[in-house]
Amino acid sequence: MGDTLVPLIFMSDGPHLLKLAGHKKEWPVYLTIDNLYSKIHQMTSTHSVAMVALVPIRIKNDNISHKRLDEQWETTREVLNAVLWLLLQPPTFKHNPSAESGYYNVFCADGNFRRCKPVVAAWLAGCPEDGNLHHLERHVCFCCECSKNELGDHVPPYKQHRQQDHNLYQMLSDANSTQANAELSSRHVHRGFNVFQHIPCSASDLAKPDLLHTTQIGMLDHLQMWIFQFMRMHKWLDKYNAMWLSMPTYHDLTPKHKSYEEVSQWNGKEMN
Amino acid sequence: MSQYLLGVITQSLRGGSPTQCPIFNHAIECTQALLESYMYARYEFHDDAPLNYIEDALHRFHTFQDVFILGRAGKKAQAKANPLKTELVKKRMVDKERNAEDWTASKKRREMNRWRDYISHKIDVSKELDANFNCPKIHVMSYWVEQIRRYGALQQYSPDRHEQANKMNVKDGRNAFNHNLNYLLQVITFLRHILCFEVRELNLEALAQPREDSAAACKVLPSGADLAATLIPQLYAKPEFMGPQKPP
Repeated sequence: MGDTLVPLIFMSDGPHLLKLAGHKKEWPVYLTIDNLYSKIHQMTSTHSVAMVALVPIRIKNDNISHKRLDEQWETTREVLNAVLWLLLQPPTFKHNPSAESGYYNVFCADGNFRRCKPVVAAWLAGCPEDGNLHHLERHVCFCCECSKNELGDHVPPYKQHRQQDHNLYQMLSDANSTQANAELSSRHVHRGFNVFQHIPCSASDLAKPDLLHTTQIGMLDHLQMWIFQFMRMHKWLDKYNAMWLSMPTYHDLTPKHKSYEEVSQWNGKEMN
Repeated sequence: MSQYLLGVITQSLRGGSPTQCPIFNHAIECTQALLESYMYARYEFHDDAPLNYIEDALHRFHTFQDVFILGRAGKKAQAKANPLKTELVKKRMVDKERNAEDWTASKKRREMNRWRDYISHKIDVSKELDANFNCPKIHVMSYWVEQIRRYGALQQYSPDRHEQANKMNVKDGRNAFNHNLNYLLQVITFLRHILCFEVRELNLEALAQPREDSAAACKVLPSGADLAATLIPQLYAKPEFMGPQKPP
């Protein structure tokens, strides 16, 4: 009898619970598997996405000192890693030898039992959250060791940067010497325990570029701001605004009543 | 917005002076390249041609991106430019006081306008010197082609699904109760009491259908088992289920 591979896809994003519970922020972790039919995947009513953890995280507060802020970040990272360590116990067969080296008998949808092997396949998160998960400093690429000054340069396909080596980070973090710490900080990595160094997967491949966050509400939003500044510098703003407001309605294009500077928040349909 | 932004810009940047024309053309090229790469990345099927187009568009974007450098100036650049502004404003005051008697009203207005333009230009130049394009989001775009070649279309990693799940799991759970402060417990209770029943119902419905129907089997959801297993971790290895059982 063969085995069934179950690729686990984790997803996380921090929504604000502003409305009722004050200024609080939660960090839910969702789990889905890749063996589902894509139509089932996309439908919310089928409960294809299950919430497996709910981590409270610190909220933005600009009024406290830098040292305190760093401590807070460190505590957040520790809490996050502890929770994820509990959560990811089943696939880590190295530390859980009783589970037949990662195989489980699972009751499947067609009424049969199957011998399944869960594997962590992807972790979809926003840009800053990926950094938190992988113990990286802020404003660093999460899959390669690109220096902070070269992030804006064009990377041709034949000149890719070196991928992040989490085994090396674990070694350096365990060594805890001055030299190892200097090496870690030169690679923009925080010292300490990280879950992804202990589960059997290539951690730098977990993060996937998602179009919604990086481009649709990331780059296109930036682009609009750049264009606004460009027009302002060249004193061309009046023409630009007039042209923007004169866009006719067509199919799903909503008519424009406000210029760029007057709009306080863009919704997803407009950015599409 | 991505559908008509290029049209708006091309139309509004017409009729620049000969010195402005090359800069305006660069701005149009840059916008076009970014939007083009985004449009190609949204394809559901890829072969070599669109992937090469993405590469090409990204290369063009990086070539022309410098026209928008002022837009990248953030708070740090602003903070650096502030002392310069104070200094220039002081100079203007001195100039105004020295020549106040000689100037007529119209001349004064003209001089002040000239000063205003001069100061804003100086600040823009100072900001441009401090700005850069070192942002992770720009860097991530260079991974599109490689990721598509290895794992397929990018649309499948769209986070729409869990944005929707946020609403169902967290927000509905929180809104279903009256207490404000103890909301974490509420969300978890809601998940265990109400969503579990919904999942169980779907599972039973699917199990009631004949086994041979493979299309129907696809509709069954194992998330009920996952949910129960995460709530009671001890049962994960040997789950006890109420449905029809068949030895392996």
